[in-house]
Amino acid sequence: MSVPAALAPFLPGGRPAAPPGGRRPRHVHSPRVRRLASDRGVSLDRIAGTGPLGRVTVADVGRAATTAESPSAAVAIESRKLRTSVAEVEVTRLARTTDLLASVVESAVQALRAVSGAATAASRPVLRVHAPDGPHREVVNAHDLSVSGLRRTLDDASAVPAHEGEPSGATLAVHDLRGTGLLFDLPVLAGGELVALSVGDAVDRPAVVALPDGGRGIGMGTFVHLALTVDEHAAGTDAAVLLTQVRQRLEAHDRRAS
Amino acid sequence: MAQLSYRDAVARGIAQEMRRDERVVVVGEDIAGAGGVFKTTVGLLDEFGPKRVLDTPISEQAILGAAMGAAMTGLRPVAEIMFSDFFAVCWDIVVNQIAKTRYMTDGQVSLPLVIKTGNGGGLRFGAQHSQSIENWAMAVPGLKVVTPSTAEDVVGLMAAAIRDEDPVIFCEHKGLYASKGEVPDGEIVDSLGTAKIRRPGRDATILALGMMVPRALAAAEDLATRGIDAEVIDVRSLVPLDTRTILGSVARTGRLFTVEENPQLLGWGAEIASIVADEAFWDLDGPVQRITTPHIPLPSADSLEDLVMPSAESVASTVEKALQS
Repeated sequence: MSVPAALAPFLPGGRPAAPPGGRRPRHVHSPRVRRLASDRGVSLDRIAGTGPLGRVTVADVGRAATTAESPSAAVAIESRKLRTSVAEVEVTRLARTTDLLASVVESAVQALRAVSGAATAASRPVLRVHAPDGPHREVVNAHDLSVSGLRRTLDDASAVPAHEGEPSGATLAVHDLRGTGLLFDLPVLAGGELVALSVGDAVDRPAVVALPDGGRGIGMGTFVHLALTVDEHAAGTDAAVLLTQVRQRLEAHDRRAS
Repeated sequence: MAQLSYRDAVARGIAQEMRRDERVVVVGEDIAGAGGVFKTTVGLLDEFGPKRVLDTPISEQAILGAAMGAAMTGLRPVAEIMFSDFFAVCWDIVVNQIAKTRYMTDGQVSLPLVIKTGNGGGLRFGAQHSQSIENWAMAVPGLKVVTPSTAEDVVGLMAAAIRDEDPVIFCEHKGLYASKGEVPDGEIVDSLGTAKIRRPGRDATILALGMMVPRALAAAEDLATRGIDAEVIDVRSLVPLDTRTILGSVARTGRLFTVEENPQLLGWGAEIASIVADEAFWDLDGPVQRITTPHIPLPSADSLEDLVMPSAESVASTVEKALQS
C-alpha cells in the first residue's frame, strides 16, 4: 500500500531507521560490549568490528579476549595477605528507607570493581549475602544491578537461597549483622572469597551534623559500622583504600536518599 | 483438556469462582439474559440466577457505583464495562473512589472487585470502540491491570483477579474472543504479576500484550527463517509487573522490543524501557525499540486500521533492521 510520505513518521516502524548524517552507527560500542570489554581487559580501540556498519559485537570482544589471554597470564596466588579495616558511616537518611543493605552492597561491589584491575575476578564479583537468621543468598550479576535492582533481588523470596556449608563461588561476602545488636565483627574469608564485609546494627546517637544553613551543630544521626577484610594479594588492593571507597559511595547514597 | 474459545473462557473463569464463593456476583449491561454483547457471560444467569447475575441500565457510573458499594459491603463483584473506551465516562468512580478507598481508609476498607472489559482494536469498530486502555489504568495507583492472551490464561487470571483483595482491571482483547486454545480440566488459578515466555530465543527479547502476542510469535517464526532467534514474552500483567522475567530475558539477549497496541506516547513499553534503562543498562546491546500505533485515534476503514496496528510483518522488519544497524 502506498502511504503519503508525510504520514510515514507516524506509522509503526516508520521512524528513520538510519541515524542522520550518513551510514555511521549511532553508537560504536553498546553498553553490553563496553562492559564485556572492561571485564575481560580488552581495549575496544584495537578491535575491528564485524557487526553491521563495523560495530564491535559481543562475539568480537570474546574472540579478542581469548587471543589476549595467554596461559602465562594466569598467576598462582600462593600466599595470602589478609587485613581488616573498620569504619563508621553516617546513614541517617538511608536508614529510614528500605535501601540500606542494597546501598551497602552496591557500594561494595562498585568500589571493588573500581579499585581492582580489569580482567580480575574482582571486577565481576560473585556476591554472597549472609543474613543473621534468613537464608544466605548468592547473586552472580550484582555488578550489573543498581540499588533498586539489588533490593529487588535480595528481597525476592522466590530467589533460590544458597545453603550454609555449600561450596561457595563467592568473591565478595557481605555479612548482614543488622538486628543482632552487634556493631561489627571481623569477617573471615571463606573459600575463594577475596573480600568480606560486615554491616553492623544501625545505631542512633547524638553527633555533629551539618545544618541546613551550612553550619554545624549537634543533632541525632544514624550510623553503621563497616568492617572489611580483604586478601590484599589476590584482590590487588588494600583494605583501607577499598573501605574508603565503600564509605564514600555509601555516604553519597545517603545524601541522595530522602 | 479441551479446546475452548477465549470468550467461553471468560464465562468459565467467572463460573468457577461463583461456584466456589457465593459472594461473587456479576453486573453489567446485557450480561444476564443476553449472555453479554460479546457472549462472555453465557450460561451464568441460568446457573446462578438473577440475584447473582444482574443486568443494569446503560450507565457506566451506575454499574461501577453498584459494584463498589457491593464490594464495600462484603460481596466480590465482577462488573463489565462493555467497551473499554467507556472507562472515559466513569473514571471518577474508578480513579477517585475505587482506586483510593483502601488508601484513604488506612486499610480499613478493601475493594475486592474486578472490572472486566472488552479492549483493543482490529475489529473495525472505529475510533470510539477500539482503544487499548491499559496505559490509562496502569497510571493510577491502587489499580491492578491484566490482559490475558490465551483462553487458559483468561480462566486462571480471572480467578486470580476475583480472589485478589484489590480492584483489578481485567482487559479482554476483543480481537481474541474467537481464538481457541487448549484449556486443562478442573480448577485453574493463575498469579497476577507473572509474565510468560511464549517462545525462548537468544538474539532479541520481544514483549507483547493481548492480541500483539500472537503477532509477535508469528514475527519470531518469520525471523527464525532469517537466522534471528527472538524470545517472545507475554507480559500478561502490567500492574504488578514481572520485572524478574523481563530483566532476565534482556540480560540473555541484550536487545529489547515492545509491541504495543497503543500510541507510543506514555504506552506501557515506556515504563518498561525506563526500568530496563535503570536496572539493565549494561546488558543492552542496542537501543530499546517500541513498535506502537501512531499518535492518532484508530481509524474505521479496514485498510487504515490494518496499516496503523503493529503487524507480524512490521514487528519482524523492525527487529531485523535494528539488529542490522
